[in-house]
Amino acid sequence: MSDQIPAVELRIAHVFFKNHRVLEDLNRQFPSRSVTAIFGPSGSGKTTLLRTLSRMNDDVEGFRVEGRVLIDGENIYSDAVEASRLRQKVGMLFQKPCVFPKSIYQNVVFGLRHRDGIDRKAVPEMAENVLREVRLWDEVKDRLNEWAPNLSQGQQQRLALARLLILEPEILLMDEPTSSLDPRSAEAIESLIERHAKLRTILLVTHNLEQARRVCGEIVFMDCGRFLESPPVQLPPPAGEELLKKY
Amino acid sequence: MKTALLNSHSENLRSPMFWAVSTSALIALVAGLGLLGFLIIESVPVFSRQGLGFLSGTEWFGPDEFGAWPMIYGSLATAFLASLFALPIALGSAVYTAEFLSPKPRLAVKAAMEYLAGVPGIVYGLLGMTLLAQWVRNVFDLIDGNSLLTAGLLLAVMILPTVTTLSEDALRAVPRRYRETAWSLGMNRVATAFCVSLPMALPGICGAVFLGVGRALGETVAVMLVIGGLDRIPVPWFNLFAPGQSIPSKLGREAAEALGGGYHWHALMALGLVLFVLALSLSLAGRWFLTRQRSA
Amino acid sequence: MEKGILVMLRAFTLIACGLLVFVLSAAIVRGLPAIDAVFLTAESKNFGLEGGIFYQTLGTLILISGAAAVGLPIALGSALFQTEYLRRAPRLKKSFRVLMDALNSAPTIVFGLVGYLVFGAAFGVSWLTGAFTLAVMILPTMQSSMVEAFEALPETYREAGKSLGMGRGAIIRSILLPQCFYGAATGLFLGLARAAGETAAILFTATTFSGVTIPESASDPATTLQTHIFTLAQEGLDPRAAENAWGAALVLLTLVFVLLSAAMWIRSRLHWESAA
Repeated sequence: MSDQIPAVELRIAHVFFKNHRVLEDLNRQFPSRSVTAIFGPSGSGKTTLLRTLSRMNDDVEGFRVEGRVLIDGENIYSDAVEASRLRQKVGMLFQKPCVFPKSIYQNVVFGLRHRDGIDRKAVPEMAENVLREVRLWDEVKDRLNEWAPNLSQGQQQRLALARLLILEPEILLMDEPTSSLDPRSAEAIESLIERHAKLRTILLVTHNLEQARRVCGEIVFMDCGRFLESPPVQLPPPAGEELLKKY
Repeated sequence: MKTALLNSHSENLRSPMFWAVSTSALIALVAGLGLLGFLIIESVPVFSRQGLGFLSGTEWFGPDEFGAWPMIYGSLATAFLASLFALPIALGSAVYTAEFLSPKPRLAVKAAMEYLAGVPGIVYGLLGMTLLAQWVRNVFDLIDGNSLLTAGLLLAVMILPTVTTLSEDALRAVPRRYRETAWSLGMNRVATAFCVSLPMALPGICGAVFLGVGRALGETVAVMLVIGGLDRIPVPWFNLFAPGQSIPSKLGREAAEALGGGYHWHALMALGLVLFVLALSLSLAGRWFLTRQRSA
Repeated sequence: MEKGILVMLRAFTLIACGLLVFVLSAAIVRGLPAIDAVFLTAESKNFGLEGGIFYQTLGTLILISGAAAVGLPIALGSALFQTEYLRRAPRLKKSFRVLMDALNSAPTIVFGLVGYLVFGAAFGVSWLTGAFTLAVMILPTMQSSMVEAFEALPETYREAGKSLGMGRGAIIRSILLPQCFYGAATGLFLGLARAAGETAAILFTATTFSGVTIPESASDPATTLQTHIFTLAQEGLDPRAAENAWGAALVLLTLVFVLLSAAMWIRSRLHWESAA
């Protein structure tokens, strides 16, 4: 694996589902080792953009990209790029966690089975490290062999993140990862983003402007499948300021 | 940007899984097309010599010609009788199961239908021969209980579970809100079932009947044992108490004598083709109705 | 009026379910007297009028095992092909499904005729020809049941695998097959039950009536319960033939119902798991 963390460059003219144009005219550079929030109302195309970056929509009937998505200077939609190879570099965390009906431990190491050159002896330690990273270790260390679907939603999401981190993705795409979580899990994930800001290139789709301001170096606004130059006018002021005004 | 037919083909071509999976798909494809292909090729001599006369001929062993009409008639007549007898009971129990039964007894009925559909044809044949044929003979005071009617009755029992279970699925697929609307308008459950659910499930029920009749057309051994085995159109033609012959029954009787070659064999294969085309069109029509139900 | 209709509907349902009871009890009442230890373990003698049905039972089991061994990998592969590899080609996918439906609707005697031509050319009238013919016959049964299972797996499972950088093959091996194991097994048992109950397709491809024990080479014919019953039934008058036919029918019915019950039990586990 190269030590170089790639930047992401968008040169997208259009993205279509059948004849429906969902993304349009997206040109932007997301620099290496940065955290960028993508903020916008629902239906603005944030999730589609994220899924486009990991070629998650390849199987969707009628999905079509016009233009290029460059990662490390290479167009990921060229025929030479294999989707699964790409996704080994580009990890994606979904809004709703999907843990496999297996034990907690098996979930954490699930992706490792399909990677070459993994030192088997090091795996338990790697698992412990990533579980600590997402602050799940203390909650599950005594029951690693228990059924993962029995965990709470928040714990499941942190488990999904650990499962991803153990694979060391260079680019991390997160689709509203904290939107339906308890505060404790959300806090754990936010703090992880902050700690990893200089390790990876992170794109975070969020509904929560507060969160975007807290953890992201930059915020990109989206609406109707386009990037906006400036925030939409109806944007509320940061909640912190509001609180200050109140008291 | 082009749309890849098989997604990410470069990855696929190197994956053993892709090769294993597409090889078996290819075998399945060859099996499907091969079945139809062989029937067509093997029946070419018949249709090139006799043309459609093969279908309308009434004498099977004519002077170096063969006529399939009595068998076609027998198949259609028994299938028609089967659907006629099975329909009221199948529909009645489908409505009762879907609209009035609570989940547990409902599952019991569905399971019973699945077992009933699983009873081997030969066991039905044995039953038909030892019991049904005797009853038909005694009740209608016939010389011989083996007749088109007996075959139709037996087939009705055999397709009953298929028609019941598919109709029940169609009725269950009608969204609950329509029933609730009807109830809110003061309609009772029976009226709701017949005036709301049943009409909305009609395409699915048609599909069920078509698939059931398709099944009935193809049944071989059970029919063979009770139909009488006479290659003749009864006189008058609607005299269903007369013995007759269906296509599969004819094939089952004679294939062993003619195995592999000669004009007789080709005639049997042509008969097989006719049967396949009949069953296939019914089944495709049935599936079309079923998908229409689902998309409605 | 409402009451009357309801009573009638209930009566129809009872008739439908009663038919199952009737078939079962008829088979038990008439078949049970024939069945004893000798009947189950002896070979048939005097054209089935005496002796037992040991080799017939064995033949049925050999044929369905052979059919499953041949048909299962093809059904599994073509189901995966249809659900996983044709995602971007909905038209091809639909055509493939129609083809499988067509194969499913083919009358079983037709499989016998064509099976004789194709496989019979290679092996003659033999157990192997019969197994291949049955394999093609149950292929759509198994395939459609497996397709249903694979399509029921939520897309999020596949996407979770993708997000971990797993290729399609890895997703199939590590996610799809383990998750859909019960669905695939249901399909297998439904196919086995269908093969075990089938007579017409093997009537002149695989079996001879008498004098057959265990097939030793690829070109040896077998003898089965289904065809045994069929021949005895045509004997007609001899009460010993009728009794032995019913005995064999009861054994066959038991075998088919055991296979069906297995399929239904596995399927109930499937729903139970997806609900959990």
